[in-house]
Amino acid sequence: MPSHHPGEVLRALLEAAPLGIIALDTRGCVKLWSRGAEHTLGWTEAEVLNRPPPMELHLPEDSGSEQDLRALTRHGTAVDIRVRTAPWRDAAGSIQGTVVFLSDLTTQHVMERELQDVMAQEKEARTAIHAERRFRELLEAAPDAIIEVDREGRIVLLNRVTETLFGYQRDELLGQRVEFLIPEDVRNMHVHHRGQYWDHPQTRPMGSGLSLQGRRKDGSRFPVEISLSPVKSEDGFRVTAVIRDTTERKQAEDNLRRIQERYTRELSLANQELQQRNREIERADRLKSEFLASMSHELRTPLHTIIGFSELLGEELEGVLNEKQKRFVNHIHKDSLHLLELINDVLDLSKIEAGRVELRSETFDAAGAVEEVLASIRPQALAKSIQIEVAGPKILLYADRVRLKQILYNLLSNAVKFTPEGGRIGIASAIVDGFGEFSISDTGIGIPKEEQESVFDKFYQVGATTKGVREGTGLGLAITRRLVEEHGGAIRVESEPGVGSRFTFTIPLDPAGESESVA
Amino acid sequence: MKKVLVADDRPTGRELVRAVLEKSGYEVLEAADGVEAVRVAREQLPNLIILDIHMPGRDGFGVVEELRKDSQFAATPIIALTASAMQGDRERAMALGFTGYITKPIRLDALRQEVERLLR
Repeated sequence: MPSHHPGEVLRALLEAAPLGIIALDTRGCVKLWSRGAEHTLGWTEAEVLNRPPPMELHLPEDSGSEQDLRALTRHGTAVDIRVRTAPWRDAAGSIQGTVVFLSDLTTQHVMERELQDVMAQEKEARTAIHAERRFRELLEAAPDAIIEVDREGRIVLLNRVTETLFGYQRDELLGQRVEFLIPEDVRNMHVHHRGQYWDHPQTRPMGSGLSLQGRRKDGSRFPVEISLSPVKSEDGFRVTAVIRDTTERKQAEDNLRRIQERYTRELSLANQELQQRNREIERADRLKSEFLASMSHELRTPLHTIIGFSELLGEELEGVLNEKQKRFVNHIHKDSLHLLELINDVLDLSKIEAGRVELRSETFDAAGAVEEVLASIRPQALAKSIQIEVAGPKILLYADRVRLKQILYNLLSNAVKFTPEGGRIGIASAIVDGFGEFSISDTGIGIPKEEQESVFDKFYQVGATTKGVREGTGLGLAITRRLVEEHGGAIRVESEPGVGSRFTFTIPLDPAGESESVA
Repeated sequence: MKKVLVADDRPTGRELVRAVLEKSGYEVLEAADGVEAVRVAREQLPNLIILDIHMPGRDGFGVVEELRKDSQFAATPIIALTASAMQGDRERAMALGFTGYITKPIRLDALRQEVERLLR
């Protein structure tokens, strides 16, 4: 092994060091100027040896500390350098001068940048690896079979779902033509279509409108839905196919369709039945009203002569009757009138219940209608010395005037009927919540609590519990309630036996509403 | 004496009107159906005619249409006397040429007054 003079080794070291090294003697003259210094500052050692440094060099005061400074090179350009000094001692330890180390910051910057680049590349590589892993995870997490196929239709990538879906091992599929996975009878067509895909490579569902099928290893088929996406990789264009097994969905859809079809069929049948029934109801309705009209006619015709002749006899124009005869004829006359009233009420109620009553609503002052009704009620009241009091503001109603009068007449004639001699009847009106409210009160026999609910029922008669008064048809209040309700109003009763009754009903106001609310 | 023709397919109906109007001093003619009513009207030229609407053969509407075409009856008062309570019957009757409309059962005074008013 050849021995080396330590100086040679040092020299080689100085030549090779990337740092610039300069040694200055105590006078400040250059005693050493390394190749690195030459490289950074431009001057060769021969040009500067034993002279002060050719450029200004502000050295840091403390040895060991660093200082960044800008120096002019031999070529007149500026260079950023980092300077560090150390004392130069001889073997005995006495100071011989200063050693200066300088590093080219520009180079360092370049290196730092290079380092950053390297790090960035590394990071990118790591990201790529991460992405690849994520991709694999995604691929395996997908509920669908995913395969990638190269331009020749060979399978180059697949996930686990593909294996389980088609019943193959991965190795059996890799490198196989994709037609391997579809039924034999459509393979040729698929090759054709696959060729055409490259004319318009874009993400789209495959064979839209067709029912696609996959083929398992055992030869069985199943419905699939496939979407295709072109992928550009370093190995050229590829196609990713996402294959979804739609067996369950198809079954669900088929079930749903069957249910819908059955439902539609049943609905249509039900509709037909309903229409048929509607026709029957309409026919029955027509028959009913024809029957009512004809029954009314047939009943009135004999009543006409019974009432007419009994009235004629009672007039005694054909001869004087004795007391008994006169009373009997009077009975016939009164009861036939009652029968007429009953027929009218039944007919009226039938019309109302069949929805045949058309309200002819108009705007009018309620007071006028009340007066007209009172004109026919007053004689009856007078006969029993019953006082009638009317109180209330002007109320403009929007209602069927004839029907309102019928309502008032029914309630007032009841009041007269059930109020003993010398009693009182009151008619009070008010405006309450957008309705005209009318109260007919009397000092009559009243209605027992337990019967108050049924007074509006058909054929209810207080006569069941009260003596003597039994001349109504039992339909008056039923009709009255229906008429009030037809108007959108309501009717109620408060009563105390022996004290009196109060019937209160509401009728809509004229919407234009100029009613005064002052009594 | 003024003549009143009453057409009604029921004899009791005719007799009631006859009894009421004879007492008031009119001569009462009878017809049992529409065809007879037209014939008697043409023969007797009554001053007033009372027609039931529902009659076999030709009904009251048909009779009034027929008579109104005849200039002899252009001004003759013709009253409908009907047991029909159908809505719209009164309007139809007035449109076809009836002068008055009374529903059965009648109130005797109403009949007397209507006849008197129309023959005044």
